[in-house]
Parts: sequence; C-alpha cells; structure tokens
Amino acid sequence: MSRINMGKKAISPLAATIILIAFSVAIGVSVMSIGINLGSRQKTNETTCMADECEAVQLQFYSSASQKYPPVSIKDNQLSALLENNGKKDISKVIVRVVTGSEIQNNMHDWKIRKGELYRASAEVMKNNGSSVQIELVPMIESLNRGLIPCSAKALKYTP
Amino acid sequence: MEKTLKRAIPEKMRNPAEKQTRKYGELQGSPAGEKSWKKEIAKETLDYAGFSLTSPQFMNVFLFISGASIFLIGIVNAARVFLNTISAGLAERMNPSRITILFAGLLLSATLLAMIFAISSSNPLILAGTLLASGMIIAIMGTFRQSEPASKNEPKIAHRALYNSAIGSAILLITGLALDRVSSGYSLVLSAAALVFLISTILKMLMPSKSEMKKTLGSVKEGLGFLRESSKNPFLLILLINMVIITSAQIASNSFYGVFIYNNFFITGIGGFANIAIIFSIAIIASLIGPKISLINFKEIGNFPLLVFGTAISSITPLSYVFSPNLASIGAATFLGMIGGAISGVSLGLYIGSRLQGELRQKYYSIMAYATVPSAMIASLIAYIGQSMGLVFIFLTSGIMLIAASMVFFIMVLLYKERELL
Repeated sequence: MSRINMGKKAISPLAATIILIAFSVAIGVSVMSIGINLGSRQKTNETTCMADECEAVQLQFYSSASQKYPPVSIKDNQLSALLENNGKKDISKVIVRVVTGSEIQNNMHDWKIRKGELYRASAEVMKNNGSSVQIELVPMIESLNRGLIPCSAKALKYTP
Repeated sequence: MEKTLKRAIPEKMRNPAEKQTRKYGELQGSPAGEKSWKKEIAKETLDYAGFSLTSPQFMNVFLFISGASIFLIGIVNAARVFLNTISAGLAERMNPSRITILFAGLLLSATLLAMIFAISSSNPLILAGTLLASGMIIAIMGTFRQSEPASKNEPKIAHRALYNSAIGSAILLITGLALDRVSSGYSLVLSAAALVFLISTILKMLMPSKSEMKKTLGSVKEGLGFLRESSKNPFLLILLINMVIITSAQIASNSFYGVFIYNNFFITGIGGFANIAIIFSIAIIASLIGPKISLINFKEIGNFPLLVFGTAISSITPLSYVFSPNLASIGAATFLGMIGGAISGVSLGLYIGSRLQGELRQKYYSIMAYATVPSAMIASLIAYIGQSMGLVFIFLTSGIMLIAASMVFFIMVLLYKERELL
C-alpha cells in the first residue's frame, strides 16, 4: 500500500493561486451581470435600481404674464436670458452651446442657480455669419456619485 | 467516576491547561462562575446591540445629512480608525478601577446624546467630534472586557459568535426601519444606544477584574525595529506596504457605502436606512463564513494563495458600486467582499503566526498599529479627490488598489515559491 504524505500540499501554491484568481474573476463577472440584467429592466422596474440624477433637473426660460421683455434674446452677439430652476437639484454651472451649420462653440459658465431661483444670465456667443443658429443651455449639477456632470438630456434649446 | 480518576492522578501529572484554569480562581463550574459567564454573555449581547444601533454606516449617513462634505466624512472615518487603534493600545496598559469604567460608560452615553443635538442642529463638526469621541471610548472599553475561564455550561465561542451575529443583524434591521419610519428616529436610536451601553457598563462593573492583559500595541521603537528587519528582508517590506494599501482602500470605501446606498436608493427598496441595514446584515452573516473557508483550506492550498484570493474577492464590493449600482448586485458583492476580507484576514494571521516568531511577531503587530497613520492619510487623500470627482471615483480607486494589492501578493507567490516562504 502506498504511503500518503499528509504534510505535502495538494497542489503547488502557484497553481492554487492561478485557479483562485480565475475563480474570483468569474465570481466578480457573475455579480456584475446581476446588475446588467437588472439594469435592462430598469425602466419597467425601479425597485432596486439607481435613479438617474439628471431626472431631477429642470431648467426653463422664465415667463410670466406681466413680463415686458422676452425671456431670451441675442443682441450684438450677447445672449441674455432669464433662467428659472424648476427642478429638485441646484444647478452649479451651465454650458452654453452654440451650434451653427459648420461650427459648435461650447463655453462653461459659473451660473449657480438654486432650486426655485431665477437667474439673469448673459454670455457672449459667436458671430452669426448668416447660417441658422441653435443655442443650447446644458445644466450641470454636482453629483455625489460622479462629481460635476452635464445633463445634456435636460438642455434648454433656443433658436433665434 | 471522574472524581475517582482525578484522585488517582497525582497533582503534578494533571493536564497543565486544567491547572491554568484552576489558577484563575474558583469560578470554574461554581455558582459564581455560572453567574459570571451569564453576565459576560448579557454584556456581550448588549454590546452587539449597541454596535448595531451605532453602526458606522448609519453614522456616516447622519454626517452626510447634517451637511458634511465627502472629505469630512472621509477624514472622520480615517481618524476614527487611527484613534481607535491607538487609544485601545494605550488602554491595554491601564488597570481601570470600577469608577473609571463607570465614568467611561457615562461619558459614552453622554457623547451619544450629544450626537442627537448635533444631528438636530445639522452641525457636522460637533457630530464629527462626538463620533470620534464615542469611537475612542468604545475602543478603550473593549480592552476592559473580561476573559473569564470557561464554565462547563458556558456556550462555545462559535455558538456565541452565531448568537451575537443574529442579535446584531436583527437590531441592525430594526434600527434601519426605525430610522426610516419614525420621525426623528435618530433620537430614539441614539437614546437606546446610550441606555444599552450604560447597562453594559454596569454589568461590566459587577464582574471581577481581569488578572492579566495581553499587550498588542508595542512601542514606536518596536515598530521601527520591524522596519529595520524589513530592510534586510524585502518580503516583509512588501507585505507591510501592501497591508497599508489594503487598509487605505478599505477605510476609503467603507466610509461611503452607507452614504451611497442612502443617497441613491432613498425611495427604492424598503427605504434609505433599511436598505443599508439589509446590505450590512448580509455582511454580518458573511463574516461568520469567511474564517471557516480559510481554516478549512489553508493546509491544502496554503495561506498565501488564500491571501491573493481573499484580497481579489474583496475588491468586488467597491467595484460593484461603480459598474453595477443596484441593490441586488451590491448585496451579493457585499456578501462576497466580507467573505474575501475574512479569508485574507485569517490567512494573513495564520501566515504571520507561523512565519514570524516571538519578538518579530510583536514588532509586526506594533508596526501594523502605527501603519494606520499612513493608511488614514491615503484614505483622506482619496476622499479629498473624491470631493470633486464623486463617490464613484472613491469606489473605483479602492477597487483598483485592492486588485493591485492582490497582484502584488501574486507576484510574491511567483518570486518566493522556491524559498519556503509560502
């Protein structure tokens, strides 16, 4: 009968380590895939998934019946707008995006607009060479998860 | 029959362990001993209830809703780890009188009540101060705990761990629900914690004082001695640096798990605090399983491969908050991460126990206590950058650090396999 060496390890430390690393990668991928499956069902079932932080953002041009001036205007390449934060989050900055036929100009402005507040904003925009211009105001919020993030889906659009 | 046998064996030939137990006094099996372990278990139960009521994850959320920044939350948690280690180490040198114990208990209850004021007045600085103070007092009182000789009727340690974990999980869930459902639930929870710790202190006072205390924190000189030893042996130095990296990553990520869950799942699941309670109840249960996996497998696989595995597995928790932020995934990742942490902790302990002998081992424990300083500093730096980059950055950095530490252990396996170090 052959003798069993009880003191010796079953496999070499290197082989054991490689097997265990492969095992931990497999476990990690499995755990993350739980999230991917749930993420695809996020829109229909939001009981366990994280909500999009930009959902709570709402930036609008201020308008009221007694208002004498338009909420937004461009005069001498100067954009003036009266903005209102109707969302549930404070807006930290705003990106003013001017899109012409061939060019896109992005400028970030420190327009801090608290919840429910009005803000008179002004910014210089590029010279209009006659082609159509679209102006987008993209609100940016301080996200606890991701720092300062732009909410492009909540951009305020204006075509003069 | 047993009596007859005992009489037949001369005193000198009896089991030395039995003699040791008898040396502690007449508590063994006596009515006094019975009462003592019952008090010990009652105190332990109250302590676990208190720890659940004042869970660090809830405390971090209190800091967050009081208006503390990410950096402040990070620095408070980092300072807490360092101060708890050092104050517990210093308390080991004390021989506290009953009055000292009572004073510490009263002070703890007072700081918990001060937290109610800090939260209600939304003052993050007072809250941070009371959190640090309460943590230090709990750490100091932990060293005053009894370690009585086992009575024959006393439940086994494994059973006690299971029982305490069950109590801890149940109280954590109740606390989470109370914080969500009861208006000003924090007042109720912190008042209950103050009362629980006060009763625990009174029970502690009624117990006989401990005969001998084992010192775990050595002098700075001892710690430096380990560093000198490490300069001759790069293996020890890499081990030490890797442990600093792991501790930093764990401090940084642990500080924000609760805050992340509370902030992102406030209206989903069963409520902000209750979601935290569920996730961390899972962690308590997982912490029972991890050490068993290490103890069963270390002979067949070896400590170092298990250390690589445990560290790699523990990186899943922070990474799940980045790549799969939903409650199911976070729950599963927390379970695995806790098992991984326990596996690596036990494996490292077994490794140190078997490879480092006598004075060197004592020096290692000393340097590890002092190594909480660089760990706390690195964790604070991560929190500082996370202030502008967001929590996802903190979790991603922690996850990458844990994977890197695991890879360093793997490289150590590759380099040192020939030298009988594994």
